[in-house]
Amino acid sequence: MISFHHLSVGYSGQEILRDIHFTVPKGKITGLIGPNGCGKTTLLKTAGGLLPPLAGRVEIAGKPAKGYRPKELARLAALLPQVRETPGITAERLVAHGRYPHLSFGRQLTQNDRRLVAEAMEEAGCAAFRGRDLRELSGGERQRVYIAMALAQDAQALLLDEPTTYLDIGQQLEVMALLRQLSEKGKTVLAVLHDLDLAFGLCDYVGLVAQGQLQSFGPPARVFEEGRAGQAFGVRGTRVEAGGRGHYIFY
Amino acid sequence: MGLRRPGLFGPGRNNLCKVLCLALLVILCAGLGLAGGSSQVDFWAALGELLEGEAVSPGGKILLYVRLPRVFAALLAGAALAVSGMLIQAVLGNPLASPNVIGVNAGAGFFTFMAMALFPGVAGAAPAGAFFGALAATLLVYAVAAGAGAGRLTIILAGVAVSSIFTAGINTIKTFFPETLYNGSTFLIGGFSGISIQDFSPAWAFILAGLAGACLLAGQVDVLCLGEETARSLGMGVAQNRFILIVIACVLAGSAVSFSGLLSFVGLLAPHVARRLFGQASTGHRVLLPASALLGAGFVAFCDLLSRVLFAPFEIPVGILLSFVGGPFFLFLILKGRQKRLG
Repeated sequence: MISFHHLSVGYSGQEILRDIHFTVPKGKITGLIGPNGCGKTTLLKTAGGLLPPLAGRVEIAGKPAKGYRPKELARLAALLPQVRETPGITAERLVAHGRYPHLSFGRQLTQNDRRLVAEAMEEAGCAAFRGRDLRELSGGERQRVYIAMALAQDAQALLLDEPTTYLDIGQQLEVMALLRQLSEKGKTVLAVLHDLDLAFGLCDYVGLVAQGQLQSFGPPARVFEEGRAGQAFGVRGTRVEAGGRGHYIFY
Repeated sequence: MGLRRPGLFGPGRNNLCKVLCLALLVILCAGLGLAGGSSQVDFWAALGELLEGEAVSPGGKILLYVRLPRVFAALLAGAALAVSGMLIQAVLGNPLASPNVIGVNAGAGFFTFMAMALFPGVAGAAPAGAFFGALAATLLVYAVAAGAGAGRLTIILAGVAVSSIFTAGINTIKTFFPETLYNGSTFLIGGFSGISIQDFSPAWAFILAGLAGACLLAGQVDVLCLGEETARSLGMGVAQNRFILIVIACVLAGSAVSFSGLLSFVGLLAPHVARRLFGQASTGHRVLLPASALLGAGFVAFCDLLSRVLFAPFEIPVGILLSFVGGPFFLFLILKGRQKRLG
């Protein structure tokens, strides 16, 4: 679905990451981890077409991302930036904006669009607050609404920038469970994650970015075994078993 | 929570009713503006005369040549400034923004004073100066901001800097050409005293085109309001849309200012009232923009009537009244909004 080919990313000629080369597995959850400022978000934005690559290329659905128009790209991969300012808008209207890439200039929602919006809200578990102002919702509820918007885009791939940041632990696990449901329905999920336990414990694949490069990529157990994650953050890590899954503790 | 479910993007029935009410209010204000004034006119007799095709009596002439142009000018200026303000607030994501933030007032003022100093007595020089000055200042602001990435904050900062330069320019002209002070002060306060059709053509055409353009782009404005990153992730060309909307806002404000002078407060007040009235969260700009236009038009027409009758036969410039009437009302809204932050 999405693959990076010797990709260099950065802002205005300043290279942050170089020679990124891997394929995001289709229908799986891939967690992108790395220390602050390592370029995870820059990589995600480049993948979503918001930033041009400095070198190399991003391929989406078998074609270089550069070959798509912005709206075409938005129909293939829905990017959810880390939202800091909350617009004053009802949940349902925000989700409906997810149909934007599908609408032509006149932008009237068809019956089909409305159905997709309703379905997306059901799927993301936010149909109950469709009429509520986004600013009245809790962080977790708000994140669900944004995920519903991305779902309404009807794209194969979801690119999420720190979808669990600012959420309490219960809400974090809820969002991860939602991503799991979506991947089981065939969505390809690439998420920048801050919490290493969520990345190692709940993702299918983990990509570790540090010091300007992709240090490691693969199933969580293998990436953890290599021990580079701890090195990258300057900590040590251990794996414990609890509640039917492996948990990763870094200290 | 009520069961009212406004249409997702289209105007729900409830909103349509409110817009119609506003339209009626505007017609009422315009009618009052035609009927009332400093001189006693038998309105119905004068109107009948006009409908028959010719204005012969003094009353008919007053209606045709004094009040009609005046009311139209007030309606046009009010609508244009209100929509311009709403566009700029949306594009810059800042509820405090108004046309003067992107340099419209200072640019228009500087070139108006320049025209008065260099071409005194030339008809049309000052309005043309105002219009092109507004456009020039805005484009300058945008060019500077674009050089720094055209972010919302850079636009505001560039606007402040450019405005302060042009304001210094105004003061320089005032100092070296004191004769510009008298006409200039009328412009700075703003008003419609003695306006004729010639004074606001072709500005009226620019305003109607700008209003139509703004309403056509209402959907894009909605998406822009989600924030730059979200809008871009949905595949919108944020920079292009932002630029087009700023130019439309500038053409609207510049056209209005060219014949009305600096009535900037409408651009702040009308959009706020519109958002209050319709609920910002549940209403898109497809409704908010026309509503704001109607509110602005009605408010300016009403204040213009007050400016003529309050101290008749003396007249106070409408710019003064707008602030005296609108200011306290705005303060009232602020205080009321404290209890209901999200309204």
